[in-house]
Amino acid sequence: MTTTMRATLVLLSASALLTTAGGKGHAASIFDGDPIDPATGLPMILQPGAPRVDPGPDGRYGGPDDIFDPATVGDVDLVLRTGGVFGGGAFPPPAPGIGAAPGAVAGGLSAGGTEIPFDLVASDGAAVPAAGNPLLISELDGHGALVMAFADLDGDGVIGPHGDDGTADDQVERQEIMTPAGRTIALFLAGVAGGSIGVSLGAPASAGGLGVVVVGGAVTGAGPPLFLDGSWVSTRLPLVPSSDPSRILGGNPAPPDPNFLADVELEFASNRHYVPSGDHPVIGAPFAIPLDGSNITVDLARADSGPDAGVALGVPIDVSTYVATPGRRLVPAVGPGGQRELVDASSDVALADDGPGGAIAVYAFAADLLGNPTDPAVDPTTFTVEAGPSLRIVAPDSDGDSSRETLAITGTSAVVLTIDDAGGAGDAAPVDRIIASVGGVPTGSLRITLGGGGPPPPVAWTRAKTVLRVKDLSAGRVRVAGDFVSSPTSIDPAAADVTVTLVDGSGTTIYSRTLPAGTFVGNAQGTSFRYRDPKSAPLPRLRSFTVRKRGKDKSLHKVRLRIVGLDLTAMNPGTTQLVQTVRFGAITVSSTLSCTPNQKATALRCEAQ
Amino acid sequence: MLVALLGATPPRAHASGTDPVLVLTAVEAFGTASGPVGLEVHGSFHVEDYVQFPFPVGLLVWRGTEWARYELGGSVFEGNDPALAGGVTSAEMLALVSSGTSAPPPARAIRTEPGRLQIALPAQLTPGSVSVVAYAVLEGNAFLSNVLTAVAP
Repeated sequence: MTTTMRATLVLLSASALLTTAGGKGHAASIFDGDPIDPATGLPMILQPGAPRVDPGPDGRYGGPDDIFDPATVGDVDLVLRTGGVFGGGAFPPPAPGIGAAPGAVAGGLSAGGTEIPFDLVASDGAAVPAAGNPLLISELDGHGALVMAFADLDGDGVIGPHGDDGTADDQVERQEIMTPAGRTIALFLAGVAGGSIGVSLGAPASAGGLGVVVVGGAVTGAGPPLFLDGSWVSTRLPLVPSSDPSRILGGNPAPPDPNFLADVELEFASNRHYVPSGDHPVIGAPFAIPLDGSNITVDLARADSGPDAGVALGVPIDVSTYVATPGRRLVPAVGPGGQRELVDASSDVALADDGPGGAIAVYAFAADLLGNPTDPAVDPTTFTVEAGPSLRIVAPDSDGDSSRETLAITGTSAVVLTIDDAGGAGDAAPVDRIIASVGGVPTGSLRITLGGGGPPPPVAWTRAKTVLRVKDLSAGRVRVAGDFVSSPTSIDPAAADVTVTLVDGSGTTIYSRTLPAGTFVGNAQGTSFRYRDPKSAPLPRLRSFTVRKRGKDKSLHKVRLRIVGLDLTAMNPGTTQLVQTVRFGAITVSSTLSCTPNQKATALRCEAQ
Repeated sequence: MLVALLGATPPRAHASGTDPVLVLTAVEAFGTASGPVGLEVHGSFHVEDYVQFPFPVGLLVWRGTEWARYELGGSVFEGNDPALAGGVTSAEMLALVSSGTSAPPPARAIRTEPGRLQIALPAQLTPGSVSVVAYAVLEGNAFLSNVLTAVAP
């Protein structure tokens, strides 16, 4: 999948440095002291204070030719300051925190907001002072610069994945990179590209707003009008963008006009950009940018939401199971307990058409025109929620009418709704909506897909193995192991009924047990769940039952369970097949295994072929 | 800054990829028990650009000769234009962006997001089939997306 950020912007090329002739040209001073690529004799594309990261000859990350070289570190070439604090002398320090940073209202000047002034300034890269000295020269005149804003969605004070808080929330931190809060262009004049940038993301002013880091980059070639015959330079960025200009200038008939509008694309979905993880084994997480002023090449801003445009609806994400998606929009809501909670208010929501149970939580909150949670214009704000015919409002329910509820939002805290499918299993329309209205006018709508009116088809195990110890058939011991792949959000053993069933080749159920929702205990990250019967429980007893989510995107689910004291006398002793099934709510995982006894016929080993 | 840049540059041909790319991928109507009808429109609308500099961009919804125009910034206008009976052209769109009167409730822009717009229709466009097109005006030229239709309950 390719998701594109398309902008109508002056050209910014990520550079043809490694593939085109040219050299330091007019921007020679910027590259003073920069490491030279031995293959080309040209300066390497490096970020200040960060190790060399390069996709290698194939141009794609994820292969054996990737270069992660902590010994090669870039110096300072560009410095960005927000708020108009750069006056032409020494670089002022960046804001020490978002409380001291310039503020803006989401929406830019077009949509009722304000902008963040910035100056992107060339630096000589001197070791002292730390940001170097401003390089107020004319060689970059007319060169395009791209300025971007990234938002601290999860409020941890850092843009991008970092190891300080573990890796369970890395996907949300990658989302901070994949959905920038804003981007604009500027042109250099006498070493400075000045302008202002609008942002589309914000948080309620009463909650302190949303922390934003503003970064920039520029082309430095000597040949107008495109200036592609030289390297690109940048402040620290939370990612390493592709060095291939076509990955930024996608679909643009050449040559674009750098003095006017051009078509700029950043394809975050491709593996031509390095979007960091929080725990790279060689370089760690050097591209994470703290919002404390410690990175001297970038600066901070605070983004407040725009004015209240009505009650919106969205679904709080599960941080531990979330998977970052290019362009996906998360907004920072204030949860019912006053804490920040990220809400997806733009995507369809899936709900199992399984009758009562398996409901989802939906947040209702005051939002600006762009969907950012905001302070309500009228406090409290009375609103009405209506559920379509295939849905019902389980809670709150003040009047016994599950299709409609009148509620009030007080302050910025979201109101939690519990939404389930109406009727029984398999009887819903494929799609339905819940709608929020204020004063009879709709202000928010959430589209809910109901799985096509029936339970989803079973998922096959990618690996499955059951071993039955049958030496004593009246007190058999069973080990079940299985791996399967499913969206991490689709499986929640703690919130759904979990049923294990083993059926032999003759159709005899030799074991079936349902653990009601709430039986499993999950870890804080939501990636590991376990249960075991107490030793005093009657036989057969579940000695252990674990479900673990593994893999980078947590979609690999590993199921392990042990049963003791199982009466296997009803089992067909000569069975050659076993159907191993575990059901998690509406998701059924099942495969037929082939069984063979051991030499002593004391155990039956069943495995998927 | 970009506004100044635009103003400083003379109009030129759109041969360098500077044209807006407007696409509608889906439109769906939804109704409320109290009567007002909404539309959810998916596609590409240059919302991220609009946040950086103002230019006329939004949605036009019409049936017959009745129309409502929704600007990304939230303003809604409505009017009647006999020329719409045969569909809308770029030239007609240029005229429409500067005509009409402010639309009263229930018409309103509900939500403006990069890939999705939600709007509430004026009463005169419900119930029944409506046509939807995204538009933008740059350098004195109007650009239109593909046209989709929806049936308002």
